[in-house]
Amino acid sequence: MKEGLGFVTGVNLIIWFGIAFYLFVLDRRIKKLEQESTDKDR
Amino acid sequence: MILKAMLSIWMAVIIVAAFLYTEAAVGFPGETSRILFFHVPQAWVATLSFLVSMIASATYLAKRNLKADYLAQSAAELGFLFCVLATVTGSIFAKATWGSFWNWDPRETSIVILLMIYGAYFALRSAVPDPERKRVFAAVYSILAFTTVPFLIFVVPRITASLHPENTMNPTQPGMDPKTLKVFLGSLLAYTGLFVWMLRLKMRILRLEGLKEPRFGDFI
Repeated sequence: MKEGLGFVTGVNLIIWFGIAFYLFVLDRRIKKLEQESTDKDR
Repeated sequence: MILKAMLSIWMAVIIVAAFLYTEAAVGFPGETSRILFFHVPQAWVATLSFLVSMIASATYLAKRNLKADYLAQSAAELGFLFCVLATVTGSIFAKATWGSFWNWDPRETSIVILLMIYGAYFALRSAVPDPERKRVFAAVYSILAFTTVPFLIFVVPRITASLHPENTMNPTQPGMDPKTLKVFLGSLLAYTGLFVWMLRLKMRILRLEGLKEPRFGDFI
């Protein structure tokens, strides 16, 4: 393995999991808002 | 939920494989060719997004379905985002291989024109106050904008001399390393999955915003 590739992989993984975590949080928040708007309509 | 978790893991596997499993392509300085595992799928997703936006716009014009407008807008926004990402990653690659971040290469020039065309789409959307007219104008513009995509992405860079490598990551080329091919196709799949996930999120946000908009019935 070339020197430094492990570090670059690690940085990329941290960035990716950061993006994925943000998307999961966003997904949950939207679900909550959708639930609230459905409850309001009833 | 399971699909999203699987996509998260799949993308992580692709990142590890892109750096630690494959060999760097011959003919490029150091390990720079690895950026193409991310740059090409970003460009692919940008093209796919603009195509989806065009189809959704045509659907909106035909059926006046609000969902189609949400899809058209979401896809255009994501197309723009991935187009910017492809430009940035391409620029980093250009610095490493050609010595400069920007060279006004035909492919670089055409992507800037494409970004300006879709930038105008958002300007148009925000400039028209009447929601119904805004949707119709945006739909017509999106269809017209897409007619430039095949020309700018596929034709212009091929009819003019370009520094851009064409065959390095082209899966149809017989000489492509099988390991590289596997990771490359996996990356295309991961990015397409990510696009679908983000597209659905954006559409749900637009729908929620749409619910907040005053409706005709609210004033009666």
